[in-house]
Amino acid sequence: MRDTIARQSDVDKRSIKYEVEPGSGEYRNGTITFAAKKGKSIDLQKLQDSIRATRLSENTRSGVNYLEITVEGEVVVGEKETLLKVRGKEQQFLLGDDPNAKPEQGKKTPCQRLKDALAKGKKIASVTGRVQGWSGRWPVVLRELAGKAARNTKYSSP
Amino acid sequence: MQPNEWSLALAMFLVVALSAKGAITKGVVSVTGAEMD
Repeated sequence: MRDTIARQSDVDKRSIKYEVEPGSGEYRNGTITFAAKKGKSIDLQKLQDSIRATRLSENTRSGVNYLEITVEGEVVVGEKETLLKVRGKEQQFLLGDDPNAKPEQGKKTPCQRLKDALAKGKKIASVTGRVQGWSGRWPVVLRELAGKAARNTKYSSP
Repeated sequence: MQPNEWSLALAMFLVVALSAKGAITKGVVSVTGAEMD
């Protein structure tokens, strides 16, 4: 996984940090942190395609707990949804609260805080969140993400 | 042409500052299993 990330042309190889929880089991949790090269944007579709080209798309018990990204872009609040648009790219993110995250009683959810900040005229420069669908055993995750990408392509004809 | 659309669940949050351009600048992937090495 670490090598696959390092092979991405838009990732700064020197930024990659790898930590694994102590122990000797084969299925320990680990985190790989990485950053884009200066002036570049990490292409999630290419990253996903590269992982699918490895043995992780085949029969394995290993998996992904989450993919968390920081996106710099423009937040657009619509009537029904909040979008984060990456300027100059045909890529946008539908923003929503994590259904698995339980906010403390009386505290606002991240999405509510985002809308409040925008309503007060604040400029949102970046959002950090977890990408939906990146959780589960690798073969299942990769298969479902590929299906989602195919559906996006299907509807992207001019 | 429709842009690619990803859903981003806001588990963590939120930097407020000025920015001139948009990009995916950082990532953290949490994995489990021997293959990650």
